[in-house]
Amino acid sequence: MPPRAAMGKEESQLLQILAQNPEGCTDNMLQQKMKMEKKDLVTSINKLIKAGKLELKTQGSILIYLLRDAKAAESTKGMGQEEKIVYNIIEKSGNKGIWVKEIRTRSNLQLTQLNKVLKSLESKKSIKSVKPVTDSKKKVYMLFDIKPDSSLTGGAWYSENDFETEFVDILGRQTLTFLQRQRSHAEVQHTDPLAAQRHMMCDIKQVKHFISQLGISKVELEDAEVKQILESLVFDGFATRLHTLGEGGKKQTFYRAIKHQPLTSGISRVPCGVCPIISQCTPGGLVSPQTCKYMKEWLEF
Amino acid sequence: MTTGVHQLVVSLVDDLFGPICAKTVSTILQNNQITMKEIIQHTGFDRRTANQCLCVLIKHRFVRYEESGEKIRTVRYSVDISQSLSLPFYPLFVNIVKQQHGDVAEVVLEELLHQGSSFKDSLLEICLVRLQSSIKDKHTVNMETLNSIFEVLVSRGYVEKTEEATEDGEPPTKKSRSSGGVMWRVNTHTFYTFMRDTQIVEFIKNRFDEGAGEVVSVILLLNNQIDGDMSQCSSSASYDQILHGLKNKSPNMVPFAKSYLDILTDSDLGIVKLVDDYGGGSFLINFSNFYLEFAKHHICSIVRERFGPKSHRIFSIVLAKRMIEQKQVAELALIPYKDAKELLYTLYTQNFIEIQELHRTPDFSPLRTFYLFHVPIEKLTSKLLNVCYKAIYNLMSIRKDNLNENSRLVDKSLRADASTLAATQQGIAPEDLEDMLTSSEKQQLGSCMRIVKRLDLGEINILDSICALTHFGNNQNVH
Repeated sequence: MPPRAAMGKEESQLLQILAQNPEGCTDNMLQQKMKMEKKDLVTSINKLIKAGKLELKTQGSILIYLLRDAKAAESTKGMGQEEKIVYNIIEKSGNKGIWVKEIRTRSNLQLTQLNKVLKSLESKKSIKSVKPVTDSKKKVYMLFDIKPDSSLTGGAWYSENDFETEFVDILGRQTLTFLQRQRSHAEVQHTDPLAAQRHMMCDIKQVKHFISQLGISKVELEDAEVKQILESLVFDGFATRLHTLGEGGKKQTFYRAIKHQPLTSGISRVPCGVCPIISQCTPGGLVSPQTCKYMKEWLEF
Repeated sequence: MTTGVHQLVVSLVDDLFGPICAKTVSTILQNNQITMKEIIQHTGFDRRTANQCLCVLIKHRFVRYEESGEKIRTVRYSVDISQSLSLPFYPLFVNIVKQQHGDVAEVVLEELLHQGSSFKDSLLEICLVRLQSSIKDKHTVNMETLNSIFEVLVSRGYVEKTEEATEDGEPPTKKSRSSGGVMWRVNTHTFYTFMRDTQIVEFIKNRFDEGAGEVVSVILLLNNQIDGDMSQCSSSASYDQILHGLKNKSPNMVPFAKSYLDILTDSDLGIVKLVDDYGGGSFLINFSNFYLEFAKHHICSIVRERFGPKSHRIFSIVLAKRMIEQKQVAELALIPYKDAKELLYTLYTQNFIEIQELHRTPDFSPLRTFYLFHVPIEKLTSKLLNVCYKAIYNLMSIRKDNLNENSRLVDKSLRADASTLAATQQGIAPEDLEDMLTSSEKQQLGSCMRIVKRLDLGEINILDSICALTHFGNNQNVH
């Protein structure tokens, strides 16, 4: 890229105009503002594109000129043509990343060639590879300084592709204790059930505050993550959710603990209720209640 | 109905009426609908035995008959399976009446259940003899008290009139019609309704608190629709009626009635519904929603006990979201992706959840197909119901074997008890009597009785699940 001083007056003016319009400019707009011949304008634009300062985009059928941000322009500096292409493809994939096979079809490069390019980009610390939690064999590439999407990393619950089961379990248990404590507090303080109900309900903010006070989480949990924990308690049957109109008529979700533990169905209290082969069990058969080891143990317990 | 249910019905009849009736029932079940001639042919009994046997079964409503043909009248017999399956519930019915109306009512109901259907006078005479032979109630009971208690049972709907039955199991004839008055039988529907109401109150108490349960029980008391699990909603009760009911039942809850009603109607369960805003509002209980919630509750509990808490969470997610993809389940469940997948497919292979395929393109390519998991709740209910019946059958067969093995000891202990009773009536102190059972025999008998007790308890537990699942199934079939 030629130094700034070597740039003509027209070029720097062009860059200024583009900097003022981050949305991009069309051909007509530039012509009006620069008051130049179309031929000269095209030469200036070509110069800038070559220097990596300008970008071309199509919006429908209209061509738009965009200023390329300085950092991006810097990052492709000194790259070969193939590297530039691959880099651009990866850049477009954003924080979701892109699979090698996809890069190959889009760039039309041979696999060996592509691997070479990817390796060189990786060594330059321009891109990085990320293993998604859903499929650790399907490596995806993204720009080096981009934070991967939570669908790839699994959010706060994953550390280096491993799910932190214990952490999640402890958070769940603590949150449930918090909800139960709120419930008993409210029941003691308010005799009117409606008032008690209102005070035993907790929204996500309250729970988030409680968790951050606990200090068991090294990272600050997002609202969505706290909600995930609360929802898991609802699905486990320990809590219920209630939607009400909050401030400004917005829908607000509250959670409260259920008074007792969920009841156990009667059939589960006999061995047959949990037996996986009950359909094959018949008196006098190969599997029969008379010879059932578990039934005998249950009867003698 | 499956063979499991048939086996249970035959086994129940065998327990109560012996092998002849059991064979008859099993023959009828195998042939669905069958004439007397065919019964005799298949069972090999003589006409008189078959007649007596059918008479007993018809009196207890386990077998019903249908007439057809104009010139030549044919009567076809079939088994009333749902009525037969209420047999294990009889002890519960007796217990309900005992709790509400005392020991004398218990004896009346027990005797009526024993007879199947009976004339009032003959029934009460038997009860009187039975009560007077027991020492406790000898002086307090007379025909008048029995009569009044019988009337109470009729007014509560526990006992109802029946069509006239005959001595030989054939449809009523002129001769039999002239011979007696009205026959009475136990109305099982009322008991099921009562049990359902108790379940609703318990469910609400568990979900909310005692007070909410009280309010619901008042609305249920005001309900005047007694048609078992067929109706969708209770009759509506106005706010004033509920207040009045609460004043009588639990006066300290009166100031909070409005709050409780608000809480209940706001809840996403949809069991208590506000139907009219006029004058404080009218409220009703939506039974269909309750049956659904209660059945879900039982199914979830079964999943939790059988597959563990993590699978239970996954199952509840699929149940709540109706149709959901595998990836979404894993995200919601807060379980590692791999584990979630494994648990989901275990539930799938055990038929607790199903997959619905939704093709995006007409080429049915699996790459371009949504795989949506869902819970086939009706199918699952009937499947679990069959498991329950099978479990009861298993427990019954173990009990029978156990008692058969120890029959000599049981007989001996009964004889010992009878002689002790006779001795005490003659004024001899029980301590002076020689022990008829040795200590090892006593020990063996004790362990046998403990096992029988445990089996009985297990059976009562299963009845609880059966109740919840049948209510839902029946209600689904009607609507």
